Amino acid sequence: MHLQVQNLQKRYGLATVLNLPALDIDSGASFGLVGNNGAGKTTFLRLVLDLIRPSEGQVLINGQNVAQDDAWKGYTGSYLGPNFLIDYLMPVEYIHFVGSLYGMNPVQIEEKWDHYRPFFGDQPLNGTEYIRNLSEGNKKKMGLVAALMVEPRLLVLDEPFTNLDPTSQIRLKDMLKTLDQTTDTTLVISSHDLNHITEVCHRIAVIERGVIVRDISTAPDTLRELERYFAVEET
Amino acid sequence: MLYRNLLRHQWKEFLRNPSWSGISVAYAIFLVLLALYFLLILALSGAFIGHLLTSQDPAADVVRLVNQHLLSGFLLLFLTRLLFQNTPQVNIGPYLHLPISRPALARFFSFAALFHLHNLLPLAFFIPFWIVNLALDYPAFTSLSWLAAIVAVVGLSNYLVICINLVSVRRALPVWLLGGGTCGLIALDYWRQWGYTNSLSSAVFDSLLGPSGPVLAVALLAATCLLFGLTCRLLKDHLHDEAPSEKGSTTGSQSLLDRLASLGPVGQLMALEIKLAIRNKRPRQILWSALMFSAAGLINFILLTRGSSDSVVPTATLIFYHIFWGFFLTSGFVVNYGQLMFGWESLYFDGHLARPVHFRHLIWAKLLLMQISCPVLALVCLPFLLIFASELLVTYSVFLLYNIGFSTACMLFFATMNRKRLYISPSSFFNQQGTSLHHLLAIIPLLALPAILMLTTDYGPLSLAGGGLLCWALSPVWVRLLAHRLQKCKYHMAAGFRGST
Repeated sequence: MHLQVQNLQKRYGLATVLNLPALDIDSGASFGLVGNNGAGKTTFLRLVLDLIRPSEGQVLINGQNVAQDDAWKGYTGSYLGPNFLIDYLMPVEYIHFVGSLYGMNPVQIEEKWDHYRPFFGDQPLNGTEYIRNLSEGNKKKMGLVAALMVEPRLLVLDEPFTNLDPTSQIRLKDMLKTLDQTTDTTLVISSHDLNHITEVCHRIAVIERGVIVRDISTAPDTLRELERYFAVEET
Repeated sequence: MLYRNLLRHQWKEFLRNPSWSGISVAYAIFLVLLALYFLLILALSGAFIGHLLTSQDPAADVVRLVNQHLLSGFLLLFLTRLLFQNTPQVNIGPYLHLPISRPALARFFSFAALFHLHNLLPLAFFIPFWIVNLALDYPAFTSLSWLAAIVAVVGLSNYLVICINLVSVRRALPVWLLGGGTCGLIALDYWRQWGYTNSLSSAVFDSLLGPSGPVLAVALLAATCLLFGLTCRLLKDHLHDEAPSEKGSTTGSQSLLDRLASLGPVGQLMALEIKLAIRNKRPRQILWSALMFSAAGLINFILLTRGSSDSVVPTATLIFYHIFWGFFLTSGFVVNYGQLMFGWESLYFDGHLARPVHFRHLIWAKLLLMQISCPVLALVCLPFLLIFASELLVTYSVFLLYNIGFSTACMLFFATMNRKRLYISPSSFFNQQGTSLHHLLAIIPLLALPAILMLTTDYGPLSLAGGGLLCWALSPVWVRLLAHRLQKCKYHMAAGFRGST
């Protein structure tokens, strides 16, 4: 999926929280967005998913404005946080609900569920526990699996590594890398974890006060460069 | 010092509760006035019930007459609070890691539970009643015994409910079976005029007026103190418990829902909505209150119109009764649940927007559920109407059609104005979080239309029924229009639903 941003702005009152004159993310690219709290990462992802209305400009997926055409929803997997989870469903019910929205049949859904079960370690998630009773980490995994299992051609994730145990972080990193290497899926991921994001994404953008201040291709010294950048920011 | 701080926190918790904060000033004032009105009604009923009773029968002994009905009254109150009252565990959580003695915490929160509305409301009735009918007419010791006993019974039911809730995971079904059984027995008793409830009630409460009264009152107070002690102990023992988590089931109703979900995207969304309603405390209680609404509608519908057929009641008043209760008989779900139809999904509305959930499917699912709820409630009421007031069947059918066709679409339109995040886990009892004045005002046009039609034309019922049917036939059109509206206001809704209150 080719993602384009044209003159995108989001303002709340007089404050401009996001200002991206142009951004192009090629089909199959892995794009990482890093920035401090309040920099505008989630706002950008919400605009990509048409969850908020841009004050100006537009987001295009394969040339179609996301606010005018819903076709992109059929091949976009996303997880921006707990308000994507229907917490009174049992995990299996939730997976079936989301899968069916994407036209998957129950057999395909079960196959996918079996495929992603190891992500949860030895947690007995086939029981009758509701999602709201799961730990924060497992809730996050539910959201991530629901986004991944639909075989998205565009995957949008907000802080996917937060709240996960070390094993799950490594597993998730491997899953995303595999997805990037073996499919044409476009990844758009925001993260605070510079280590992980530089491992997963080939292109990293640093966002600060709503503006992309750096846009770099990942190289061996990218992590150090980013660490230097944010260390300077702190002082 | 400790208790004073805890008391302050409790007061702040009450004032800053999400049930209140986040609602508009106008709505808050309206709610306060409404609460004062009901308090006044309760107090006045307590003060003047004696006057009402003696005006019908001057020889009546007011206190003994009221004593007859106390048992059934307290039983009903007990059942209500069993369903709605929370255990104090939730409030204690934030203090557990602090260097405060746990028995002291248990004692404080057990005692503070006494100042719950469930306890204060009955007293708002009984204290004026006691002042007017007992304090002046009976010896001080006797009248004080009676009052002490009433306070003790209120306290007893308070602690009994907490104890029951502490030792067992609350399940609505057994409570309602128990409640239904008890109400059934009481109703049967009143209907057949066997009088066992009244006799038992008189035996207990009349003896308070006799020589053994003080002993009984002291015994009841002692029982309350004992139960308070037991509550403290149980509370202390259950401090480590996490809030009982409900689990789902994979049988019975579940397979029915699965079948519904397999019918297609609309069925899938209907099944999701049903799961929402039955698996979350607040919507579940709203469902029960829809049934209570219908029951109240039914009783009033029958009683008021029956009573009025013998006496001289202006026709307009009679028609108003018909409109009011005829409307509420089948619209309990539509009015109580339907007007927050999108608010219920506020916690995951973003998820719906980011995924291929088609708005038309979403609207169909909600509209169909509301439309189905009307005949379901009507079927529940039908046997009673057939037995007690078959002459009301026409009005009942007219409003059924009106509600199915018009009220549902209208309420769903009002639901697209939902902009507040609704927390669906807390109890719905006195919980105004996420609601506003327009939720109450929304009912006015629904009532005004039939009022105008019924009062101004001779063809009121016919036009209401015909209009209802026509609106029902036009459902696909409403769905298109509402989906279009949802598309337009989805950003505002999603932004509101993401807000903290």
